[in-house]
Amino acid sequence: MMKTQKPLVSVVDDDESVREALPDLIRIFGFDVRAFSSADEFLASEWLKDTDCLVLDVAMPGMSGPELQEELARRGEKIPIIFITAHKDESERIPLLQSGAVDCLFKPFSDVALQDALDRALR
Amino acid sequence: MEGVLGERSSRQLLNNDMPDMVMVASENERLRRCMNDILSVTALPAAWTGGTVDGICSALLDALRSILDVDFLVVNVAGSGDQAEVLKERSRTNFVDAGAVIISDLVRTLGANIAVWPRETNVEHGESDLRVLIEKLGVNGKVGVLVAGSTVSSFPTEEDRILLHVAACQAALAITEAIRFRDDTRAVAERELNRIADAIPVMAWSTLPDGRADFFNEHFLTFLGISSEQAAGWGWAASIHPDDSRALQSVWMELLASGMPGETEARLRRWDGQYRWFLFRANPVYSDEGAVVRWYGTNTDIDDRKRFEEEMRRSAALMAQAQRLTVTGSVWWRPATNDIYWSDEAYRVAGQDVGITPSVEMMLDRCHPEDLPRIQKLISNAMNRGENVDVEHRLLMTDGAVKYVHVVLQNIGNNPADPEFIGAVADITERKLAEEQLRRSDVLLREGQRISQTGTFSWKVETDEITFSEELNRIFGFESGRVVDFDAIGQRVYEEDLPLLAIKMADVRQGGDNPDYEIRLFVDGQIKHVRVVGRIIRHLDGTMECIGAVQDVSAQRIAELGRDKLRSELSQLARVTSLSTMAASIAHEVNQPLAGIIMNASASLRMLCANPPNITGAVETAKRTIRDGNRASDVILRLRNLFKRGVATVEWLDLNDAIRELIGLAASDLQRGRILLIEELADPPPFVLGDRVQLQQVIMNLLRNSIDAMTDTAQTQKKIFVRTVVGLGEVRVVVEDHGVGLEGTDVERLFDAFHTTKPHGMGIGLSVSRSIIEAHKGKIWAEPRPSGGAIFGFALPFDKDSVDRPSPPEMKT
Repeated sequence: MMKTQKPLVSVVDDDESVREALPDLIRIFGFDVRAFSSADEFLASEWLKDTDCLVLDVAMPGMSGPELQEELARRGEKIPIIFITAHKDESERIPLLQSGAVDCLFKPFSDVALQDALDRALR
Repeated sequence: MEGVLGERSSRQLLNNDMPDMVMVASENERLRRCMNDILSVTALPAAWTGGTVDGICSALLDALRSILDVDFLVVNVAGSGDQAEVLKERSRTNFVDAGAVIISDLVRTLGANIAVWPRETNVEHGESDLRVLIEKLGVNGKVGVLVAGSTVSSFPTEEDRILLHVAACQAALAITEAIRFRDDTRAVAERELNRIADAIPVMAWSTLPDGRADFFNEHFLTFLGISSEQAAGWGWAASIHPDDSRALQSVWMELLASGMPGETEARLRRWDGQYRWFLFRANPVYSDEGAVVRWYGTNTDIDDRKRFEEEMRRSAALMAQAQRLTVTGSVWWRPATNDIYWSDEAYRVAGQDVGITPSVEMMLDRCHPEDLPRIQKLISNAMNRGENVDVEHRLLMTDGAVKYVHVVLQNIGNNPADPEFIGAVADITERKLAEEQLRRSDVLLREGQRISQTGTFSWKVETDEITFSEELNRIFGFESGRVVDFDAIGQRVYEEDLPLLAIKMADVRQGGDNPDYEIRLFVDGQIKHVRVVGRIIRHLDGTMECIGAVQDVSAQRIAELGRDKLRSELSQLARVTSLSTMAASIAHEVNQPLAGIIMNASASLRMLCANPPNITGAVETAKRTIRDGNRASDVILRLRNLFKRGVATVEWLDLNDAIRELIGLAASDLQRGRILLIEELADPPPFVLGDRVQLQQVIMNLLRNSIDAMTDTAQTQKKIFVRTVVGLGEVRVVVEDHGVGLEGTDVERLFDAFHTTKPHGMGIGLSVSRSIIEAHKGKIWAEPRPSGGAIFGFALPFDKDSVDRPSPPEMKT
């Protein structure tokens, strides 16, 4: 598989509907998209190195979103991360942003908010 | 006799000393005397004609004594039938009464058979040696024997032999004739006697002196149903009643021994086997010598008398027993003569010694002092006016006890001036005490009914005759004492409950179970809840009666309604509280599909707005939008079910399914707490009968507690196990965690209301859970997990057959 000229956005979320809907929208925004159901799947993927932006669910079975962030940092991977979460808890958002995330979107979020976050991540 | 002896000396002298002439003359003289003697003997029968055996023997011996020179003469005539033997003798002075002894010696030495006796023999008697001549009377001595004896060695001479032989022959003929005559006379008399005996209307009999029966009249034989031959001797004795045999035999032996008349009573068996009582009377007949020669007797049928006596005895015993049992004595009183009779029981009732002569003073002696004037007046009226007495009064006994008696005296006399009373005196102490007790019980019952708001009723089912107690009238709002019928009852029963009343009444009429049900009344504008409990009694005449109680349980029902309402509200509060703690999880569950909806809708919109529009993609994303919308709707529906307040709905439900639904709602919290939930659910899924929402509330409480217990622990592998386990007759739901455990927790109080171990808990979750599980006839518990943590669980009744239930039926209550 070859990476195209378009930036590659990887989506990691254990919710299947998110993994279906989000790639369509991101693709409309003009990016390439790959979806993964867990952090481990992503880490084991060959797309890890080509990923330009990571849209990452916070709470997942197994390794959570922040844990994956730590793992990538430990590996020296500097991929911009946009966290998405269904828990509308502002107290969780701040530490995520402080850890270097581009943004943290609360589900359900608008297509505009997502596009804005992606633009900022890939600027 | 001396003459005889003198002659003998002369003859001896002549034989020895006289010359031939003299001897011839002497011989002639001897022959002449001998002839004279023979003639004398042969003349005897003429004098014996018509004589008795006894007389013949006496005359024979007297004649021979005057002729023969012997020391003794004895004649023994054998007895026959009822005739005793005759023994007579004539002896010289030194041989008085030797005859009987010598005869006995002869029998002893020669044997009893006289026929073989020799004609002459020697016998020792005392110091004398006797020459004895034996002459048999009749052929072979059948009639008897004539014995003569002398100490003279030349005895007997030829003349002695001739004389004794002729005398014996003459005597034998005369005795034989006398016996025959006597027997003929007796036979005639006996036949006549028997004819008379048969004619008299009693059972007559006779026996020999030894008691052996020899005659029964026709009545006797007919009664026994046996022949005279069968009855003879002791044959009749087989008909004596076994119980009387020994006593009768004893009396009879005494009579035989004493020879005195006597009587006794015994039962004899009639020909048909029936026994009847008889009076046996026996009278002896004596001989001239005073010996009993025969017994005559009669048997008089006294069966009716005996039965009457027995009846009387039994009646008297029964009367005495009845008096004893009823503690009632009988009394007879004739004032004019001051004669009073008391039965034994009357003495006992009055506390007097049995047997002392009763008097009016004694009658009044025990009377209670407070009652005495009244009783004295009644007694006076009875004595002077013959007035009957019927009074209850008290007796004051010597030990201070008070006894109640009922005295009835009825004047049965014809003369007003001479009344005669019969009556009874009954000890009614127990009745009086029972009446007192009954009065007290009645008061207590009324009071008890009033306080417990319980009335009693009786209903005669066949006649619909109904009786209400005072309290029941009050409960029904009826006037006291009114006649109650089902129309009146129907007007008081709450309209909706009339069909139930009709069913219960029909059940009683059809002999169903004892009624026990609740029904509502509408009395004075208020609804009353009453519980009806009855017992159906079948009387001896076959009629049925339902006796029971009706309790006003309105206050209880109102309290129960209030309690149910409170419990429901508490349950709702607990539910809301639990759900509020899961708000984040719930938001997560809702936000996930919402996110999908919005992203799909956005994508779809952008695809449609593109140039050219991406219709295919838009359709696909629109479909996903709908799918996610439905998913969100499901989540909301589940939440609504959990939050709603409603009537309990009992249905068959899959416990595993209910648990999975709950786990779905808690998934986010589990994730956030980094808790791994492990389901170990029974397969096939257990179906139980219950309220799905309520049971989910319990599971949610247990799961919530476990999540809370795990949250603050520093474990890297946090696990909660949720299990369903099918056991014997039950299914258990167990939630097991590795959390902080129950150390320091009072497990017994965990399920008490308002008892909590959480800083911000209300202490109602587990309390409500217990109420729910107990309402499902189950049990709930908590226990420490041995290696740390806690185990909470509950068990519900479970029918194994329902495991395979493919589509559980819905049951609504």
